[in-house]
Amino acid sequence: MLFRTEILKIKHNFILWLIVTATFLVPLLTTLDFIDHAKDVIASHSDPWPLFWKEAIKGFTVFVGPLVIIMTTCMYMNIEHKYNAWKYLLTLPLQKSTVYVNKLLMALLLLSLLYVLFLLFFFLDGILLGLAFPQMGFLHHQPDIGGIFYLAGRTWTAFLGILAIHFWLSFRIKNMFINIGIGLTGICIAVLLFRKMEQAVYFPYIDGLLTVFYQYPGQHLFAKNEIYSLCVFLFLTLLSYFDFTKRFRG
Amino acid sequence: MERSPNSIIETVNLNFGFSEKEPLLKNLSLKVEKGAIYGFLGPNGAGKTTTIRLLLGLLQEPAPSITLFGNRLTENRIPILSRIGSLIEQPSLYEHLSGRDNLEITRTIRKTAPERTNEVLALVKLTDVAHKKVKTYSMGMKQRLGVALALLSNPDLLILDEPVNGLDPAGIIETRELLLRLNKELGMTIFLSSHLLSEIEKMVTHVGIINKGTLIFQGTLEELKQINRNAHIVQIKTSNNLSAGLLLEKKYPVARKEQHLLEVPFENKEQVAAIAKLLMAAGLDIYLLAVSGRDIEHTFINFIAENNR
Ligand SMILES: Nc1ncnc2c1ncn2[C@@H]1O[C@H](COP(=O)(O)OP(=O)(O)OP(=O)(O)O)[C@@H](O)[C@H]1O
Ligand SMILES: [Mg+2]
Repeated sequence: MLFRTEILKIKHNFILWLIVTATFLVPLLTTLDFIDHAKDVIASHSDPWPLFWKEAIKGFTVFVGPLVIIMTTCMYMNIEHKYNAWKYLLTLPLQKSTVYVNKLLMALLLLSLLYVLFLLFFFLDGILLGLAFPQMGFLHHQPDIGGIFYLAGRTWTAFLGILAIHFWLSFRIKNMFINIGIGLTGICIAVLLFRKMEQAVYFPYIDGLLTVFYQYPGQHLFAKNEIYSLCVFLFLTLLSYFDFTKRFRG
Repeated sequence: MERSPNSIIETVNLNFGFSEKEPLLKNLSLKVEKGAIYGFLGPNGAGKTTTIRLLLGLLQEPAPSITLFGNRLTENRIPILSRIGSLIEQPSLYEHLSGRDNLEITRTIRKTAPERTNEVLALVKLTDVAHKKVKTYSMGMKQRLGVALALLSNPDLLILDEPVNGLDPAGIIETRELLLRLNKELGMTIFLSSHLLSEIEKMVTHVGIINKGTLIFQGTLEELKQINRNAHIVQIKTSNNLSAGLLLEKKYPVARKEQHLLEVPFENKEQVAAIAKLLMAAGLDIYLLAVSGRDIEHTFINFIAENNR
């Protein structure tokens, strides 16, 4: 019930535009890159899907990756701050734990929506490329759907850590730009650490990049950074849950 | 502690401060009876909103001292909140959504019947603009939507923080009539705050006056008016009001008004005669000696002034 109202709240909101634009642009840029290098792709006479996917998911983790995830989380949580609505929400006959759980589920749903739309645009662009450039071979090969979903799932997990960080900050910090600024700082540090990535597993902002640039394609079910991100998520979510239910008062 | 079952809101020596060092509310003992329209009055910063936030559990009381519907707030938050409709300061409205969507959110959470949305829209006269985004609403329309949200679940108790703030005279009258009707027809108990007595004088049955976190008056409107009847002033103009003021000041609390008009409160007509004699004995010509009662707003302001002294 409450969840339905959370969905209603993002209607007419910039969040949806951001999600659609970001997930549309990344496969589009990959596609343009493929058109640019059409000759090479055709000359290789091989299955184009793995390369197309590799480039697209790299683009996703770099461009959509931390930043858009942080922005959607912050903007979504900011709705209550912006309209002075925490004080109202918390005077409705609701358990605070219910409010928390619904907010978190919605943040996770938005994260998943980024993936759903990204995959949708990705496959669509692949098919369009196949139609426009039959020699590229997009329509003659089957994409490895299982592998694609597997890697997508792993990066999804690798992003949970930063989601938990910014979810917590977003009900504690009224000004979402401070929250996003913290995220940007984290991303900049991640970029600086890029060459020493392997040792930087414990810096949550790098976990998503690690999966695609270092652990790709992993043989194991989950790489170290993904498990670490999941632990950060569980630990911080537990703490922010108690902070919200016991101490947060709007 | 004996508690009459009739009181809907009761606080017993409620203390609160945002920091340890500075207490804000001091031994606040409110009592709002069933069926009352209770006006909670006080100047800016007196602690009205803070009190309301405490009543709704948005701030934590240091010791359990708040009882609503005869139950302790700390232990019965959810059942108590389900019987209250509230509006605190600026209404919390999702401005990117329509008025109707805003109501739908609350209606869904409170699990009220679907037709209630249209009913409350009609009650606050927003039916025609219900489909428009709230960011296009005027301040008065937002305030009315806030009231509609509070009314949605047909609550037993309405807690409204400055509900007529930002409304034009017609809006004030409409809101007043709406609240009176809800009170009469449905027996809703209403607790509302204001910093102007005149705004709410025509609807309240009871008044509580808070100043600097202390309750300085609590009683029926009738009782407040009775105090008012005992308070009168005499306005004075003489050939030399400067020296007249200095002279009277020795014995009376003199207020200086524009154009050198002096105002002196008095309790009986003998005092008026005494004032006249005093002025004449000092050789001053009296041009004006007008006796008048104060309006009730004055009594309220006076209460606060005396409390501040
Ligand atoms: N979150 C807060 N932290 C610290 N002090 C606060 C906080 N909220 C309010 N105050 C202080 O508490 C005092 C009482 O504020 P409150 O909002 O209760 O006044 P009010 O009676 O509602 O006034 P108004 O008529 O202006 O609405 C003020 O001095 C205010 O500065
Ligand atoms: Mg206030």
